[in-house]
Amino acid sequence: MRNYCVLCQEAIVPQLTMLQILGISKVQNSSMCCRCRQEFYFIGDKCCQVCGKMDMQPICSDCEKWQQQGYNDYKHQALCVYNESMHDYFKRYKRYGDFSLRKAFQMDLRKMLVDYPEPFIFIPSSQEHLQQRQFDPTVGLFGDLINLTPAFIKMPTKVAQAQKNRQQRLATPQFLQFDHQYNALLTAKQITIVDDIYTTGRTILHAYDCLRAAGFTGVIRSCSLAR
Amino acid sequence: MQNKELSGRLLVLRQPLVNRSVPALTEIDENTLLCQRCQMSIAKKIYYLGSNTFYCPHCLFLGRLTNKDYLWAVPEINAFPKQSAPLVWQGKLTTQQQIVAQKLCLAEQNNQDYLVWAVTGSGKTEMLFLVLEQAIKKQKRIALVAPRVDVCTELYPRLQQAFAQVSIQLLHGQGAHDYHYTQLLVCTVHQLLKFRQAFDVLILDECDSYPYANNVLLHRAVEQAVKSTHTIIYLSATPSSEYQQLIHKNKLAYSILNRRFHGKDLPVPHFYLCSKKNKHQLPVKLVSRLQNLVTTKQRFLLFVDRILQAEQISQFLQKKLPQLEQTFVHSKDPKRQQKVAAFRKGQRQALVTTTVLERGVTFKNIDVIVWQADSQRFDSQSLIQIAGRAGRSSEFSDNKVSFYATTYNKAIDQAIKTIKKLNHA
Ligand SMILES: [Zn+2]
Ligand SMILES: [Zn+2]
Ligand SMILES: [Zn+2]
Repeated sequence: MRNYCVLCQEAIVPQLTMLQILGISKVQNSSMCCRCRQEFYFIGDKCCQVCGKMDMQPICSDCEKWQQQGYNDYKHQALCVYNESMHDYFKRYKRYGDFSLRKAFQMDLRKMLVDYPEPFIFIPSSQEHLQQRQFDPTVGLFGDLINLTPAFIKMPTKVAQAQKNRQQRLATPQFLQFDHQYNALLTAKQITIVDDIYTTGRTILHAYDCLRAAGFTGVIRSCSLAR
Repeated sequence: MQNKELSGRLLVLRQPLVNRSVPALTEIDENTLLCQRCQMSIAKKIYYLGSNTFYCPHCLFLGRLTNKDYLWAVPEINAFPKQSAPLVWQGKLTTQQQIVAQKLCLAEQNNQDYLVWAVTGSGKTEMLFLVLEQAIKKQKRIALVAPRVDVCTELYPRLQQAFAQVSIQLLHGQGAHDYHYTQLLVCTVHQLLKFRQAFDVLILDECDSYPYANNVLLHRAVEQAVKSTHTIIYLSATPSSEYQQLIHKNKLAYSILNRRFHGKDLPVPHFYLCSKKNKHQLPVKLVSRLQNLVTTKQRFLLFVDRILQAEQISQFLQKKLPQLEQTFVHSKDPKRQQKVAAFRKGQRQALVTTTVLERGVTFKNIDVIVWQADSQRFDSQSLIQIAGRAGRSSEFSDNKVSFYATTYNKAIDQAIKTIKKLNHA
């Protein structure tokens, strides 16, 4: 069957390696054509050792501030840089509500998540957004790849995180709550938090605080599509 | 009594309205739905939101439609005041413009479609004034549409001035506009999907250009926005085969406007063959040409085939010709508008650009150079448009246009031949 790019609808011509042609290694079905893929910047090694921000070595200014505030043991990984194309992607996916675009990065996210053990907890959208979109963007991105536990409850806030400037974001008070029905998770060695976009780290660190307040003492890691 | 504000609109409803609304998405077969707003089909197994909720991915930019929504096409009532002399423009048409303007009036009279093949810089907006006046007097509703926002924003103030007493508004996807009912509407083709059988006269500028060309959705948007009796006037500097075929079959009447308003020839492109080279650099031949331009202080646009190229060639020139003041522009460049505005004001000697500046923009006294003119990204229409950036004002009608490439292909050949033909027609 022919595959079509979820972003531009062009037919995808698979570029096979010799091992794939010989059937020795598996053919990965990409959801994006080469031309669309080129528009995104996949984060390599040259990035902040803590949060994955590009070209900030060994540690970016955001993380430096968080470390001063005592967050010494968290680590984040992001797949791509939040560039103009990623902005367009999220506009189509979240603002316009094109649920089919959740598949664009699935192959790459799957590869990235291989190194992370269960359980995975996601940062949920607000009730209001959920009603508007009729889907949760983070669940859309990760839900087909891993088991997501809805262990965070989002408490109502006045302004959406996306509409705030940097200062306002950093000053946002705690808006997540750990759902105690999931207390069993707290005995795990590691918990991985997933979100769609990492901007200042504020949201992820609220999640971190939540887990610590609930009594979790293990390793906390987090992943997102964009940074 | 119907509210005139809604007249001609296609409204989205969350609840059905008896005898008026239709479901937004209708079933074609088990696996496929048809969107009643954009007439595109929807694969149910891809475009769903959950149990039994499906959406149209094609017209999402106007707000997502699902199979739970309804559409109501409000009838157009043409509630416009009677006007005896709406045109306040004082200018004069050239004889050639005058002939075309009269042909357009006749087409409107007979509710026929018409194509004007007008070379870049021939003053096609002025040529529309007579037919617009005629239609306004008859209380007709008129849309002036272009595929791209830039063209709309350039057109709007000129019409506003020429028809100072006529209600008019500009509508496009960038920036918030409060819609209100007007006799003249200037908008992007996309916006037409918000109307149904609303317009008596529709003028489609740059009908051969992206994103309208070959776009089924936008073609349907035009078809659905006009009344069943209507006149569509197509404007193009480079009509595509779509229109040439209609002309050939006598299905579309047309006129050619082959002279610029200043009456001088279009600059004919010169072709320069180059040997193959590293694609992040420019060949020696071209570099020494640019060197020359630096010496003579002739300003120019350097067209390249892709976004990355524009940035790389600009960097390359920075090193190779540091005395040349230049920068790059492309569609993904957030500073594009500023850079173009600065260049128009005379800042910098050159811009390295993609096809984003291929049409719609006018600079005075500019030479035009295309690097890798044989790239697939440049078809003959695109090359003709690019060449049309040069020689726009009568004092500098002999600006140079040059194509540099490693092969001489069909697109280049066609572009040069067409320009020569127009000059001698
Ligand atoms: Zn694509
Ligand atoms: Zn960092
Ligand atoms: Zn649609």
